[in-house]
Amino acid sequence: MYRYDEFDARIVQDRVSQFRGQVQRRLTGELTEDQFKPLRLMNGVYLQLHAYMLRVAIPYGTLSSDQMRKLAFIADKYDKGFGHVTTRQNIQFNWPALVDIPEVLDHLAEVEMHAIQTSGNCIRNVTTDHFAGATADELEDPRVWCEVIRQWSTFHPEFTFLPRKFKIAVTASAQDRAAVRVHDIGLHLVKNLAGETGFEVYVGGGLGRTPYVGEVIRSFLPKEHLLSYLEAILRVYNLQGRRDNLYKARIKILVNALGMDQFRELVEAEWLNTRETNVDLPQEEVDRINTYFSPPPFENLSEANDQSSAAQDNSDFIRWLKHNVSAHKQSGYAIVTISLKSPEMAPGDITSGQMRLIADLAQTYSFDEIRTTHEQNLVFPHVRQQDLFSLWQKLSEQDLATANAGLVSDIIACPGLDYCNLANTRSIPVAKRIQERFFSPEKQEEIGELKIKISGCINACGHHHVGHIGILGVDKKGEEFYQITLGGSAAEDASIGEIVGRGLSTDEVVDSIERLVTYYLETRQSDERFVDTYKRLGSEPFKEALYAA
Amino acid sequence: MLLKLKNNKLEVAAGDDATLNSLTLDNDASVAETSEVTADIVILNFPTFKDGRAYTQARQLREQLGFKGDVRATGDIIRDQILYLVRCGFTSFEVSPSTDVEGLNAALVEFENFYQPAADQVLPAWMLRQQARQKPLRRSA
Ligand code: HEM
Ligand code: SF4
Repeated sequence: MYRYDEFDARIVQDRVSQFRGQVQRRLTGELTEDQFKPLRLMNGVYLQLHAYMLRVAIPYGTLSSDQMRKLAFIADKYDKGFGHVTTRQNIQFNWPALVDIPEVLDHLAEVEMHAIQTSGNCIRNVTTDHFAGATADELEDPRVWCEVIRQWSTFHPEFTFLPRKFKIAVTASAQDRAAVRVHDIGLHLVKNLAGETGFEVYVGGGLGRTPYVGEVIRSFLPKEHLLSYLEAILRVYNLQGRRDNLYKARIKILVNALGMDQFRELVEAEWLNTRETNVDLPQEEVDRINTYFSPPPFENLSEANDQSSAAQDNSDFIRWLKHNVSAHKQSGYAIVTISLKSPEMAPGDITSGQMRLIADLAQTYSFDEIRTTHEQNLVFPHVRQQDLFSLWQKLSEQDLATANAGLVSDIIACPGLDYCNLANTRSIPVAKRIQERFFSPEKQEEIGELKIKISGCINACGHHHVGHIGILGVDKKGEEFYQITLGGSAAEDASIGEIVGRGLSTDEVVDSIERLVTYYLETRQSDERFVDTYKRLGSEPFKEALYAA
Repeated sequence: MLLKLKNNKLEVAAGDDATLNSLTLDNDASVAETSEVTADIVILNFPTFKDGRAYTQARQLREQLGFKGDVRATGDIIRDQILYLVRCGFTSFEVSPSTDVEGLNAALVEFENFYQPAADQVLPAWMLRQQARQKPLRRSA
């Protein structure tokens, strides 16, 4: 894991002092709310329906046990004992008082954490594959480049008042677990014909009210020029992105208006200039960062599942193995997904007690390392296969062993009307009702991979556009309705779901989704996933099933 | 009120620079396509402090055109952006008479280190790290 040196530490400490001063000036009235708003947003402080919310950055989703314990402490002291894992690998606290936030930031700084650029019209916290450094299918650990980007983008003097927020994601695998094509910039580490690694660069993806899948702007960018190239893209966007209309201000709108060819030309021209500056890091500095991401001291183990009969006869454990355990690059190890989608909890919520258990277990079983995922779950990246059964038993004690990763009950849902002042509809209760309907683990297993994503309004915080089944809350004459989209994906086959027809009432929505699933089960071929069957048959028959009542 | 940057400190300017010739650049004017600036002062505007185009324009003036004169910010300028402005190459600021100059100067020194190079002469963290490795215990900007 990356560790701060004196420079990193000082920058974060200076930031805490600066924010403390800004809060003070707001409290005395020296700053108006209008002036304070962009400043607090830049530090992850939102005003929600009921209170302020603090979004804490988890750079590229990597946490240590100590950091997790600190989050538990903050959840207890400043929230109501909960944290909420977000779709951008961060964690949010929903109840801190504004006056306390500088103190929370002090606590965070003690464990090398902060809330820098988790919101606001700046370059946001960079995200990546939650299996980074553990999966066999990656070219190299993408987190090295995430850290390079984190440093470069932190308090970037030129790009702190962009037209709109700016999100960058990095992956190094063919299987895209980081949703890079629905980011403003998506970076995909690839090898060129000469065998060198570099970046395939996507630009212009994004969700919100006008969703786009990013397109390739450059098929191969040498690694050493990453920052100068990013700087060129950001510069074109900063100058030419629209500022007259909030809803047309993302880079996706600019790219679409100019067309990729013209946008690319502008970027390439600007790149000639940015390359001449000192922005690209020398290999020595990349190497320095790289050493923090060297693999943990793995033991030399052979593939070994727990052969004890207690393990082998436990069907719940076997089911969890099947859905929540993934292949590791190191023989004898496994990657474990810890679901935060228990039927008892709102999607992504975690209690302080669970955080402490996870911190302890990570120390024992996962080289002190925890990941957050954009699907609002957690991951232990490096677990010995022989420990899986005992880990599962301990996770079960605190409702952390739900065997549903990637299944119908592993739902992404935004906070919706329960917390958010922009919402048309509730999201969490719909997620709960779907989970109830598909309660049976056998049924979920039969259905297989099915990604349901729910947003309470067109801002699309719940990523409904890229759900295999997307659910969007709309308001019709004061009544809550849900619009269904089908066939979306955030993975390597990224696509935006199609709207299939009229909105459904709160009463209809769960029955309708069940009919979709039933139709899929009746018509699928061999091991086709829901989304594959949808792509094969097209929307018509699914539409019929949806409205068949 | 006009503030000028001297040795990383803002001072209220005595005169009004009336004898110097200035060029006002719109926020949508392309610096990249300008070949040469002969004016002594280039004035860039912030219609609101949230509109950040002039940061890029200032850097382009400094780093691409090598402009050595005064780059002046006008419009909506608040304390919390002053450090970014200076880092992007601004050297004077047209602010309202009620501006708290001491506050601005405090904001200029809120951060000691920076990760990225810009139009100022500050060395980014990676260079300081390099120096620290070569010469333990000595850091300089
Ligand atoms: C009070 C609560 C919230 C408010 C008011 C809010 C507001 C918004 C708005 C206005 C947008 C659209 C921005 C745009 O189109 O450029 C947006 C997008 C987004 N929000 Fe939220 N949000 C809230 C909570 C959350 C939470 C809890 C999460 C994470 C679980 C979240 C994740 C996202 C994501 C990922 C997007 C991006 C979609 C994209 O890439 O364009 N939001 N939010
Ligand atoms: S999608 Fe809409 S309702 Fe849901 S959190 Fe975002 S802004 Fe709020």
